[in-house]
Formats: sequence, structure tokens, C-alpha cells
Amino acid sequence: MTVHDVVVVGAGLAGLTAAYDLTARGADVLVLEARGRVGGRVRGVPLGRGLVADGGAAYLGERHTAVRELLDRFGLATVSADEEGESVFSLPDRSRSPFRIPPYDAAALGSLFEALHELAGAVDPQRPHAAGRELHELTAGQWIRRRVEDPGALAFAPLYLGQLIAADPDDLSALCLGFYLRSGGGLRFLNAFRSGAQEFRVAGGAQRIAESLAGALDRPPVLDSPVMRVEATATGVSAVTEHGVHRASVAVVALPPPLAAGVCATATATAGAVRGRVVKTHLLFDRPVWREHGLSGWSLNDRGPLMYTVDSSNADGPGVLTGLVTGQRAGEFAVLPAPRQESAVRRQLAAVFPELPPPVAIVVTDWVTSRYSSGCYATLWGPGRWGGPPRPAEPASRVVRCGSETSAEFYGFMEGAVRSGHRAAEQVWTVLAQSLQEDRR
Amino acid sequence: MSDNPAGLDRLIEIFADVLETDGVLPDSNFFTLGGDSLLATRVIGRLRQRYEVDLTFAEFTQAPTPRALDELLDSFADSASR
Repeated sequence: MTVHDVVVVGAGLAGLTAAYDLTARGADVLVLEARGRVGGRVRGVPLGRGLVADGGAAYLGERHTAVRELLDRFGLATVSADEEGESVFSLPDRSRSPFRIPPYDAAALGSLFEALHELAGAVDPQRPHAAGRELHELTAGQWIRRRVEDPGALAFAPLYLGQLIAADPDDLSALCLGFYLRSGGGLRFLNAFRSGAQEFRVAGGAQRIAESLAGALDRPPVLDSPVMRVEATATGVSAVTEHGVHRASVAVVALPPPLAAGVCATATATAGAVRGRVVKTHLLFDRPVWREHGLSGWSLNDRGPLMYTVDSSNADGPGVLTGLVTGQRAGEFAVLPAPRQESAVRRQLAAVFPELPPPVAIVVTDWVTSRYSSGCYATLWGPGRWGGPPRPAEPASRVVRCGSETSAEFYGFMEGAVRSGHRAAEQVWTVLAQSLQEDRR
Repeated sequence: MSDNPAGLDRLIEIFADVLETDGVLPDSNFFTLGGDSLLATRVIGRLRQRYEVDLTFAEFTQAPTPRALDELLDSFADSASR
């Protein structure tokens, strides 16, 4: 039976980055993927007319240096995500504004953002467990309500955070929110399009990063092969699938925390894990009609199902609006039959954007009921004992974890996934070098 | 000399703190220095909390430098004392 140097479980950006680095160093790497495609939470969705939209993670900014390095390496172009024009607010009365803050009392909104800024500052992403007790014990919603009284600001908080974290403020602990905001680069970076975390997208879709990594491996990832168990012995590891057992010297488990815990005993406890929930909807138009009306395509509303829309058209192409549903509303929307999803979206769109013709097509990407994601954008943590991303495995460990949720930097982002993949590859390489020395003795 | 409770020096400090930069001058434009609408609300929030000054978002966008804002707040103070 073939014994590989490394078996990588999961072909998302983290696992593929680790596999790519190890292949480049000459290791024999086998990648196993449960789904019928690579990319994980990065996914290209065809909209027709040759257009591919980002059904999953999409946005990047200047500080996402590890992803930008991959874009350079594979010659992938980017498109600006910053759009001119007015925002639409429907809360519930419709209003237009040249700015991206809603028509609530500005000073009260300011105190909400001050509070969130303070929360991010109170958590050291490398040592989140060291934060004050209040942050561990309260939900993010409770923490905010202790500091903010204005009804407008309190109504805005879940909408604002829903877009940032794809969860409701009472789903996660204040600690987890502070960690997420700080790890992601702080409130100001996270909020901004220009010079922020939403500065550009990958031309043709972010899944091209995953496809480029996979295409550069010596052996293509094995698809449709869910791994049920990863077992470690003193001399190696085995990854057990329905179809058989794959042996290797070292395993990289590149899965979200709850799925990692399901396949390997050494993964940290996942009590308190909460799934981020998002459904992404793409609305196709002949052209970006909203621009002709002075609108940016960006909207925020409290009637649902789509809580936010944003322009994701390519230059000179058809018009594409991306609509997001997050948190509990995403849970409710995801279980509706497709025709009811579509009619709800059409009804809402007519109310939020009466200027627009009906969309030519509506494409729904559901991450809520998606079996192999376990939380999208990310796995989050409720009040309790969460102490931050798992510590790196012991130096000699034959099972190495990676994935966006193992990264203290840019946790939940593509950048966190890629950084964790690089780190895992370094660690695996050290273990491989050690076992090679032992063999020679 | 400012006639409002904040004053030019405090306004420069608030801009610098919110924008996380040392390079704020009396005529620096908040939005040119990287300020956005979210950060602007933090300035407005601090002015209310610390100096009980009520400023709308639209007013701030019309006076986006410390000097212009100082003059605007002076005019508020004038009309209040009349």
C-alpha cells in the first residue's frame, strides 16, 4: 500500500495552500475533499452568459497580503469593488443618502461604533482568553445593550453586525465579536470598501485561487471523498474514507472546528461553537440600471429577506446585485422552497429599488444547510469558555490543524485560511524532516 | 479664540484619535485623511458626549476640517447665548 508523506483533509483555501507549499518542497501529498469541487467556502456560481459570481467569500483588501501573493503568483487579476452613487435605506421608510450610514441620530450611531471600537481594542487576538470576564460571559448583544441606549442605534446594530459576521449579536459572546473585529483588522478596515476589507474581488471569482492551487499539485485532489476518521500512531497516520484507508507520515486536517472534532480526537473541544449563517443571492440584470438612477446598488433594510445588497457587476458587463441574508433570517430563508425564496426576493427588490426592472435571473447560494461548511462566514463562539483559536499542535505531532478558524490573524477570512495553510506546511515539513532522520538511524 | 466648549485644539485631538493619525492640521479635511461616514459619527458622538454639542451628520460634512468645525460650533454657541 502507498504511504504518502502527507494526507490533507479538506480542499478549501487552507488545505490547498498547505498542499501547494509541501508539494513545492518535494513532498508526496494526497488531498481528500468531501465535496465534488475544491474551494470550500470559496465557490464560483455561474449566472449564465459566461458570468461567474462569488457564491462564497469574495472581498479582499490591501492588508490581505498572503492572498495577494497568491494572486500575483498565479497571475489572477482583481476588480475594484468600490462603487460610486447613493445608498438606499429602508428602515422601514425608504430614503436615499450619499453616505453609508442610516438616517438615525448620528451621535447615537457614533456611540455604537465607539463601543465596538472599544470592544475590538479589549481583545488581544493572540490571547483572547486573557480578556475580562464580562466579555466571556455576555453575548455581544448584551454587551452592546449595556453601553448603547438609543433605539435607532440598537436597531442598526444587528443589521450592521449581521453583514460583518453573518450572525445575530446574541448568537456569540462579546469576546468572540471583539476577537473577530480585531483579528480582521479592526472596525475601520472591516467597514470600508476603499482602503478596507472590501476593496476588490478576484476577476472571474475567488474560486480561481483554489483552482490555481489545486492545478499546481502533482496529484489532483480526490473529490467526493469525505474522511470519517484520522488516526495517528507513533509512525504515521491513516485517513479513513468510505472507499478505503489512506496512509501517510503526517495528516493536515483543514476543516472548520466542528468538522475537525468529528474526524480527529486531538481536535480541541467545540462546546459553544455557533454556526455563522448566510445565504447569498445574485440578481442578474441586463446592465447595472441602478447607476443610471445615481444609486450605488448598496442598500440596507430591515424588512428582509435580503438585508443588504451590493453591486458586484464587472466593468462593461451585465448588472449583478449581490443580496445577503444573515443570522436567524438566513436560517428561515434557507428552508423555504425555491419558488417562495424567489418571490420573496422579487417583492422586496421592488420595494427597495422601485427604479429597477425585475431581475432577469435570481441565483441562490445557501451556506446554512451546506453539510461540509459548518458555519459561514465562519464558526463563531457563544458565551462560555472559548479561549481563542487552537494552539499549534505539539512540535512532533503527526496531526496538524489548519483552516481560517485556526488563525488568530484574519479569523474567518480567506486571508486567515491561507496564512494558516502556510503555517501548517512549515510545521509538517519539520515533522517530516525529523521522521526522515529517525528512519536513517 | 474659540467661543465653543470644544475649541480648535480639542477638535484636532478628536480627529487625530478617531483617524488614528498624528498628522491633523487646522485645515485638514476629515474625509481626505481617510475618514468615512462611520468614523464621522464617532466624532459627532464624542462632541455630544463630552461637550453637549448637537451636530447632525450633514452639518459635519459641510464643515469637515477642525477650523471649519470650530467656526460652526462658535455660531451654535452664539445663537444659543442670544
